[in-house]
Amino acid sequence: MREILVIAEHREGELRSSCLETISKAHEVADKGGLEVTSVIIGSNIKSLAEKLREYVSKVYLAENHEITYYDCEIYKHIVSKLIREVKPLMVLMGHTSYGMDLMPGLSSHLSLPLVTDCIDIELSNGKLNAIRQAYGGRVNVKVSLKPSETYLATLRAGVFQPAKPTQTKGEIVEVDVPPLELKVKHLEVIRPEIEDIDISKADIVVGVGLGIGAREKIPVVKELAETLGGVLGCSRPIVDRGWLPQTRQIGFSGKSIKPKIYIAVGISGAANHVAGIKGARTIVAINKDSGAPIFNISDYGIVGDLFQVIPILVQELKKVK
Amino acid sequence: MNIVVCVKAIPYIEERVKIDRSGKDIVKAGLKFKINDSDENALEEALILKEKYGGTVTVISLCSDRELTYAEQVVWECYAKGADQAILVCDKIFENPDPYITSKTLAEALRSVKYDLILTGCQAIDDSYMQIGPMIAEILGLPYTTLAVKIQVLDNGRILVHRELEEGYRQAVEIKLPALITVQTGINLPRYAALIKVIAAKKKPLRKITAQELKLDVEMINSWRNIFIEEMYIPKAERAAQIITGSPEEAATKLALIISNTLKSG
Ligand SMILES: Cc1cc2nc3c(=O)[nH]c(=O)nc-3n(C[C@H](O)[C@H](O)[C@H](O)COP(=O)(O)OP(=O)(O)OC[C@H]3O[C@@H](n4cnc5c(N)ncnc54)[C@H](O)[C@@H]3O)c2cc1C
Repeated sequence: MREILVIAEHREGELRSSCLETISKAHEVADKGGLEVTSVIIGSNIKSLAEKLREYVSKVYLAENHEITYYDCEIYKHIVSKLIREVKPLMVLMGHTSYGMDLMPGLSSHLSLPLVTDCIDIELSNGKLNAIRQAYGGRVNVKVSLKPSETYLATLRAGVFQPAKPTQTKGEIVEVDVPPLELKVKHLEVIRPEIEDIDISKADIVVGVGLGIGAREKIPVVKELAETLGGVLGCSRPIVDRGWLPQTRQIGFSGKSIKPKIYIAVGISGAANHVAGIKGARTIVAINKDSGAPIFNISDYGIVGDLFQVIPILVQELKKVK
Repeated sequence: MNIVVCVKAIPYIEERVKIDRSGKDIVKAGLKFKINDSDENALEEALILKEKYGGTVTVISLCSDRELTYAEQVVWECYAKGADQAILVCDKIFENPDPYITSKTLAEALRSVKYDLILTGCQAIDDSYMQIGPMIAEILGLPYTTLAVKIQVLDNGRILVHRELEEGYRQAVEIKLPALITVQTGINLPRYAALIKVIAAKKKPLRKITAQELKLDVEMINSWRNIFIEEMYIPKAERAAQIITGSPEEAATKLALIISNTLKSG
């Protein structure tokens, strides 16, 4: 049976959730196409992770070596390339994450295999891979097909698929050699996030400010809304990039995931990397002057309008109804 | 240090997009174009390194004939900010290239350029594939790393890079030159291009390379294509927002009630 090979991702002794999500989608595709789902895990001290992983797939390729202390592009590329040449899987999948974004394009060009990234859906049709992905910051969906190939590569967007559930049987573990390599990119250390002033991931009420605010001096306009509600101020990435708010306030893929009762997004377009952090919000409200902004596709309530006209009145009215 | 920066002119979208008649692209007529955001950070990083260590900054961009004016505008802005040379790989056969076509072509064009370091943005925010940087590196046989939020030159031709992981984590890696690094936004604050300098830049020489000069033809380009666009459409809303209508005053007043009721109900 041909394989769908999932490249396992782990950090600090845990499988990443994106990895289990990718495995679950792999099973869905495999069940329809008469394929089996396998996985490769690479690192040091990963026996227990491989044990866990075998509950989800029919085979775990275990590449263990005490020198691989972290995700390392060149080592991963080498091991996975060799495995692909030997096993000839029909598909190789990974999360569209800081590891997948790094490894997969290099692997694609290294092996001359077609790659499609950041997929929100994939299907096999007559042995060919089709995928749906997004462009223009989530404003459009794009259906694509890949060039016919013996093996297809794809990365799947995190947070889109339900994580896999353990299966009845445990997969077999196959040990894979880790050859000595002369590395040109060396892992040095992991740097953990800064200590926070406020933990926005625990707040019940969050107001997010985006680039629509236009200037640092204007941020108090939105901050006042957060304060009036007794909530906290979060933001999109460009606000942190410009140094207008600290990194601890960033909501999204490379920032925090929040799960408040209410999230109010002000001047935020709703790019996937931002939305990744607000999936747990119970009620989402968006204020944006562009009626086509993707944020409205995932909100419960919206106002299409200029935040500088809407917010001051909103603050005033909230003070009244309180 | 001689640095190459790959840049792309992308449409700047502030309103609802429309799908064109082919059903495979958006209507681009009437849109403004600008430099892709992380490419602008890549250029800034190159300029900072040049100011510190000397050397040159060369920008390179791939475009179709139709997009030439946008690409030229972007390149002039790069000149105005301090780039030394610019290369435009431009031909009608580069209409809607996929990531591999773009990478192969840029890599071919770079074979005649001297460099120690290639910088690209980590993602073009129009098609958002995130493939180009690592692909170019692999084709040219260079080591690479991605999502850089800090770049620091060490001794002996090595560079320290902090690459961004999820949830505020970073990974510090060391990479040996020559190398390619993709740059994430936030690594620096890009300088502005003064308008007078942009106007002056239009007099600077611009090296244009056609497909023929790179010995590329349509068949070759087609044989490189990995990704075929079948259809483009506006996605259905997951949770279609109830849009609160009326003047800003009316809408804000209604929203205040909705918010306070939502909070009261738990
Ligand atoms: C690897 C990677 C990781 C990333 N991680 C994150 C992350 O963790 N978090 C994150 O947020 N982003 C992240 N991003 C960036 C993300 O892709 C988007 O670029 C970003 O979310 C856009 O922020 P924004 O919505 O504030 O800005 P824009 O997309 O520029 O949107 C601004 C919005 O404001 C509106 N607006 C303008 N003026 C007004 C006004 N006067 N009144 C009302 N509305 C107005 C506009 O219509 C527009 O919709 C990441 C990107 C990459 C490549």
